[in-house]
This record gives sequence, C-alpha cells and structure tokens, in this order.
Amino acid sequence: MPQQTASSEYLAMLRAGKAATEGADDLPSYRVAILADHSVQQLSAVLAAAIRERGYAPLMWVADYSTAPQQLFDGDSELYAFKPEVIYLSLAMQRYRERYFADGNAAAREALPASYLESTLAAIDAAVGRGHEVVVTNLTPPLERMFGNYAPLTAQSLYGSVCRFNMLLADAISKRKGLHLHDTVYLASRVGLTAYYDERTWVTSKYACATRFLPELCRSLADLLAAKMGRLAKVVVLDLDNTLWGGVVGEDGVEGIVLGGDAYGEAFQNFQRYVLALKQRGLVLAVCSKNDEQIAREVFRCHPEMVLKESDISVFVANWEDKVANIARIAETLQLSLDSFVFIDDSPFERGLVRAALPMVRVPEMPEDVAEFVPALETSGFFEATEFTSDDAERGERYKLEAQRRAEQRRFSTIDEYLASLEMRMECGSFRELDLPRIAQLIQRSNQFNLRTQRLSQAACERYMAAGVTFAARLADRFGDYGLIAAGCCEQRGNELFVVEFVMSCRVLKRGVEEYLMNHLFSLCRERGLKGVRGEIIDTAKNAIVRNFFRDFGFSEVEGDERRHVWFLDASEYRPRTTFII
Amino acid sequence: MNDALSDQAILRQLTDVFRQVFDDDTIVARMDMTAADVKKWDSLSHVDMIVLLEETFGIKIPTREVARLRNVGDLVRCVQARKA
Repeated sequence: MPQQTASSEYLAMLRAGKAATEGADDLPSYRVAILADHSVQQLSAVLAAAIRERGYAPLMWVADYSTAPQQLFDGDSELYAFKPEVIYLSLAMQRYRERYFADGNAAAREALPASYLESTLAAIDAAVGRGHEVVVTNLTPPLERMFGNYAPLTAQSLYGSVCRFNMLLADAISKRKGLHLHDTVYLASRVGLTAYYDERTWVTSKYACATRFLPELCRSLADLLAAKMGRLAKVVVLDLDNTLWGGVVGEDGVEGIVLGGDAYGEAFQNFQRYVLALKQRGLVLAVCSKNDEQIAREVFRCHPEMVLKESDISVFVANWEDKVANIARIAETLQLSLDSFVFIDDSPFERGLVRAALPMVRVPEMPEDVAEFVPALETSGFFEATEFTSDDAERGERYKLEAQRRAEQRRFSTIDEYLASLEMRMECGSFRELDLPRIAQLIQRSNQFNLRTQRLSQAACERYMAAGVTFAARLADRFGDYGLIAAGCCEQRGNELFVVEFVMSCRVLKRGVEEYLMNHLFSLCRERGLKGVRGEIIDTAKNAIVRNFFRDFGFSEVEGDERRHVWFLDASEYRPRTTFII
Repeated sequence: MNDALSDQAILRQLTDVFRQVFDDDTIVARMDMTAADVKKWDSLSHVDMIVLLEETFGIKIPTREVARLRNVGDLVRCVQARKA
C-alpha cells in the first residue's frame, strides 16, 4: 500500500481519467473541448474523472495551447468538428503577468485589463456566435504585490490589474448568453495562494497551479457542467433537532432548545441564515423531522430567535414514520424528482438510511460541530446555479401554494369540479426577448416532461424565436402565479410542423395544460396551412411520463427504434380538447 | 549522518512512487534505470513523479535540478543529500 500524500488523490484521478470512458456505454456522453494558454493534459484527465464521477461518459478534446485562438476563429477547425457540448477556456494568471511585465509604460498598464479582455472575448464570441456554450475561468490573484497593501487600489499594480480584469470579465459574462464563469479566484482563495501556485512547475511545465489542486478545481467545474445538463439541486430537506437548533424540542420544550443567546446558539442561527439565503436564491425548503408536528411548528411560530419562519418552508413533514418514506412523499407533493434533493441531517443513522434507500438523493456528510456545517456544505458543490432570475427568488412560495392546492383538491368530488374551481388563466404566445433567460432555464431544468431533452441554449432559443415557431406559456390561478411553466420550439419541415423541443414544469401536470398546449400546437399548424404535427420522443431515464404523450392525443407512431419514437397526426384528424383554462 | 537513508530503502519507496505515477504495478526502481527505460516516463509524468517524490520524502527539490533528474541513481543521491 503506497504512502498517502497530498498528491494521492490527484494521481488516482489522473489514472481514473485515462480510463473514464471504459464501461461507460450506458451513460450519457459529455463532450468537452479544452482550450488554454497553459498545459492542460493533466487537467483534462482529472476533469474526465470528475465528469465520470457525476454519471457521464466524458469525451475530451484538448487544443495545443498555442493554437487556441485559431481553433476558435476558424469555422473549419478540429474544435468545431469535435462538436463539443461545452468549450472550456482556461486562462492562466501567469500569461497575464507576462503581458504586464512586458510593457512597463503607465498608459499600457492602465489599458491592459480592457485590452486583454477584448482579445479574450473576441475569441470567445467567435464560438458563442456559432451557438456554442463556453465556460471561461477568471484570473487567480497573483502572489506578487510590488505595491504592498496599496496593490488593489491601482491598476498599475499587477494585483490591481488582475482584479480589474476580473471585474470587466464578470460584467461581460453577465451580458452574454452562452458564456459562463468558472470561478477559479474563489477556489484559489479557498486553498490559499501560496499553496495554489507552484512557480517551479510553471517554469518547467506551464502548469497554472500545483497539480494537487486539480481534483478540487475539476470537481467544481464538473459540478457546473452537470448543472448545465439539468443536474441541479432544487430542494433542501432539513432535519430539525440538532440541525436547525440545539437539543430535542420534544424533550427540552420550546424554551429549552439552544438557539441564539450564547455562542453555541448563535452557530445554529448562522446556519439558519445560510439556509434562508439558499431559499432566497431559489431552492425549495422542506422539513423532515421525527417530531410531533404541533411542537415542531411551535418552534417556528413562537421561538423569538428563529431565523427561518414557517412561511419559508414549502412542505413541513414532522411525524414518527421513517425518513425515507417521508422524503418520497415530499418529492411527490412537490412533483420534483429525488435527484434534485439535498438532505441535511446531523444524525449519521438517518443519513445512512437515506443514502442506502434513496441513492439519488444527495446527502452531504455533516461534521459534528454546527459551526462547521456551512464550510462542509460549501465544499460539497451541490448548490450550483447556471443563472439567477427573478423567478428563482419566488420559487419556494410557488411550491408552497402547490402544496395547499393539493390539500384543497381533496374537498372536491370530481376532478373537473376541482379544476373549474381553480380559475386557471393562461398566457400563451411566441417567445419574447425578456422571457428568454427563463425559457432557457426551464429547458435546462426540466427532466421529466421533456420530449427530446435537447437542452437548447438561450442562444438557440433566440434563433428559434427569430426563425422558427415557438410558444411559451404562463399560468396563474386563484392561489397565485406559477410563472412561466412551458415552452416549445418547432420548425417547418416540408408541409409539417416538427416539434424540436417541448418542456413543461411538472408542477402543472394533469390539470389541462397539456390539452391547452396541444390545441395551441394545432392552431399554429393550421395558421401556417401545414398538413399536420410531427413529434418525437427520445427516451431518457427520467422522461417516462411523456412516453405516451402523443399517443394520448391520437397520434400514430410512424417510425422509431428502441429509444426514439416519431409520431404524426394529421391536422384534420385532431379533435380539440376542452379545458378549464381561460 | 544517522538519518541518511540507504540506497535500498530509497529504492523501495521510489518503486511505490513510480508505480503510482507511471501506472504500472510491475515497475521496480533500480539504480541504473533511466527515463528511457520506463515507457511512461515523459516530461509530463516527470513533474508528477518529482512532486510525489518530494511529498513522500518530505523534501523540496530546487528548479535547477528538476529537469536533470532523469535517472534513478541521481534521484537516490538527491534524496540522500536532502535527507541528510
């Protein structure tokens, strides 16, 4: 057994990466092209291992670092022939440093951040303009501080210059579709700059960082890549006793639990503040606790030091059943799949139980000390976001309304009676510019009601908006607003309307939205004088609910194989459906 | 010089280092072995090997020596000089 050292994990991942495509035939592939201004052969192998860890078969293509710009500009390059799903552009601070040192003129130094960004963006835009998704790193802070503490205050210093470049880059990314940030600045800061850099391997081999940090760097990138494929955490399921507060409320009473007051109590409050911030950025919170429900709720209602309020929790489950059954019930109530769940519990027993019974749920290992909860969750990489829209902030509220609707549903004797009582209103029309971020996000996030799982990017949606046939739908009812819940892109193929992509939020299933949208599809078809609608279902592990989607509307399967099924229905044969949606 | 490691002791640990870095469980480090004798000992894996060697023996090898250490005999003497 070889001695374990700081590099053991790196070397293990390097070996795993070289074999990452072996035995991965059943996994979906992920094609990643790496372009860099430094050596990335090792990074490529470690990234392949990290992508494989996340359930994809990685296919990597690496450009020689001297040819990166040409590859991006030349439409016939090997890069584009590779058809990458993501292009990763890794920038080394050391290259920027070379440029900084090369010209000591004050005016040149002042201009460096903007000019360096301009040339970087020109290459990126060449790829984004072709509809590619690009992930770019920022520049890690240099260790050199010739200006001491004054360095961040002036772009004449290398440190200040890099900071300014990073600000300009962040601004440019936020204004571009199809361009994403890999925040290496954060990662380098987390491990510490003196450890992160290895000047020796830079001069001998042009490695941008010490190789032992490649696992951390690549896992963080792989989390981002998986998130782009829709693998996102959407729900945080929380235990209560000794997780949100100290002690056991059933035994200690509401007054007896530890929360606020002393240092230990403040640590729990800080953890609650972190959880609240997760909710504010779009995660749905659920409680799953072995407790008497009334007593558990009383803490939320009455304890003056509680940061989280009852209204922050979309689904509240406190009973004495096992947590596996309860988590499954939460998933059913929310209509969200379990692989978007993160389960946080201080008890190793409960964590082990959930991991064993529900392996798709992400269960972070929690340290014993509550003060270390946040650092532990932060290294898990579970909370990736590919963007942030105003819809995200309201998501928890919508899911809570949904839980109320389900409770109300039981009062009506027939489903029609219930649906009529909802007073649903739908707004449905072609894509609008301002909806594009939300449309692209819905396409990335929807795994279940997703006919072909094409994962069209925002740029692609924009192209369909300009040249294709599109529809996006918003739904509201008397309980509240669901926001944008469905989107589709179609194109005219011959004299038929072909459905390229059609996704819908599972929260609105089985209440007439499918029927409403199918009516809409056929009216789009007739408006254009087309013969009929052609659709395709591409099976994935998650979209079983759409397998009979076309059949249920009277379509016939006209071709296909085991995974792909093509359906057609002549417009003259379609019988419009009645719904309770205005 | 009590702390100085014997050739054999270093070779044993070097064998572990080589097996991890060159991904070959049959490699046995010998004093007369050079980079040319090991299929996967190229310039990229050389750096990995040096880093793991440093971590294994708790030493730091200066830049000017890194590129020169292309055979086992030199590696062993380098470790001995720095562990002494």
